[in-house]
Amino acid sequence: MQLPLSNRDAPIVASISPRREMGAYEALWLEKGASFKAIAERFAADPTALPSDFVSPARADECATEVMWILKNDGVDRFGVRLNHAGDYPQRLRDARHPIELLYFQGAWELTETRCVAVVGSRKATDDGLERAARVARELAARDFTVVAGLAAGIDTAAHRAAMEAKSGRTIAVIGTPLGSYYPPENRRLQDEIARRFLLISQVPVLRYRNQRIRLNRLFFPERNVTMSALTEATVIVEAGETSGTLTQARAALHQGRKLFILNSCFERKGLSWPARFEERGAIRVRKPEDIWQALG
Amino acid sequence: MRSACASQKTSGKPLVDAPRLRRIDEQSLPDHTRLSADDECFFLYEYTSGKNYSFSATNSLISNLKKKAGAGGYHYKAPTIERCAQELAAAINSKWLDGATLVPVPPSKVRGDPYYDDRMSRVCRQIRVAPALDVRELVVQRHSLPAAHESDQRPTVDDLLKAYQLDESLANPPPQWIGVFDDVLTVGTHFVAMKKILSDRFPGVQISGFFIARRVFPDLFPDD
Repeated sequence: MQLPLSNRDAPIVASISPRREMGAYEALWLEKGASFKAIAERFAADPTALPSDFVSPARADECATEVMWILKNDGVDRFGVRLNHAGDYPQRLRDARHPIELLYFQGAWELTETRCVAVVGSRKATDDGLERAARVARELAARDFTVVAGLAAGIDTAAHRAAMEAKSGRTIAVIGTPLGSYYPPENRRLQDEIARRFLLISQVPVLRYRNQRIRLNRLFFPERNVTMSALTEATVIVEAGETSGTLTQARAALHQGRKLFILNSCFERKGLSWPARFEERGAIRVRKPEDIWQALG
Repeated sequence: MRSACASQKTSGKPLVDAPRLRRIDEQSLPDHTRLSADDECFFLYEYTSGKNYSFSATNSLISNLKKKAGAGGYHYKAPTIERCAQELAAAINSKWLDGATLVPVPPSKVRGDPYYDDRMSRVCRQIRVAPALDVRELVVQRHSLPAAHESDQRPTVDDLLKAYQLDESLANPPPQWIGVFDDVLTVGTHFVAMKKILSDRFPGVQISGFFIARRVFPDLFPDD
């Protein structure tokens, strides 16, 4: 005679429904005071927890339905999530001070398993900076590295494009908006192409982004630099001002034990104190490309 | 050179933080067109279809699992089987295992064929050695079929039902609940055929699917 299956005897003790976890994560982000720090602290206190452990199933499913609807309306028909404790979640993301529990992506997640180096810098870049970014990206691609950047205007865009134009080049964009949202708007085609041919990653919660003021959404941009650093083995800063968001990535790289390269031109630019400051803390001053290749091994 | 490194990377290494199984849910169901919402299927990993990323850990895990006798890297197969079994053991409820019958999807080649490969039976048997699990090759094939992953023409559920038969010599005692085990979940044809033949013979018995990996498409138009 067949015995009824109780919850205790279900096939999996704590199986994961990615859709429900996505909804639960979004619900956590709608709570008052939610931030990457606050959410990470919650999970740090309960290291085996999943987002659904903090949110009712009905609330999680409601949020998931809304996210699916919004993304579909924004033209995102196919996407995936990566979740801590499930397969395919890169453990190196745990090196971040406030590790991310859930990421959205479009494209081939496998690219995160290649050797990845971030190339980042100012949005308002000089012509020399743009050329340097493209050159670094081309040389990384030629050495079989995947070029990671944040899809911002300026240096990031130059790095993405050069990697994509290189023979067998690969690129990953870690964006500061949700999937299906575009910033800057002129990078829309580039973002779609990266999602289609390579890999586009977002850690930005869809519902929170939609529900809060645009000014507050700006805070998602530097936060994604932390994740970009955690995903990669090194960051190359091509050009950055004294208050640039790029410096968030520099701090994150050193904190996470990643290599940080700063192009010599940054040191030579008058009025900048950050290059020397980061060099003192362990960053590598790049006088010639070989300095990068030698350090990467 | 690269694939050899990948093989080493993904064969038999000790588990540090075993992943939990994910369930095929409303979001992932459209990737597996033969499955329906009431099919209960679980998987450990995902891999992107059509890209052949030989560097990918999951790609090389599956490749090592499928290695044919005599092929290069065949020595990775046994440790990979062991690793898959360990990961499933860490993720499946041991109380459920106590009462479950584990049924591997039959290999595409029948016993006696030089390419006969009982990898999923071996995975099932190694999930737990003691107390021993109830692993039964309840479904067998009447004749060899081209391996689905090597064939242009993938079999339909009807093709499989024509090729499958239930091994009555193993049908007793009747299972309380069944886990069907396979390496890769593509459209879901093999699971659906297995579920059909098993539920016809054992009506009312809950049948769940377990997969090492499921394949996903990178975008809506993979051939674009």
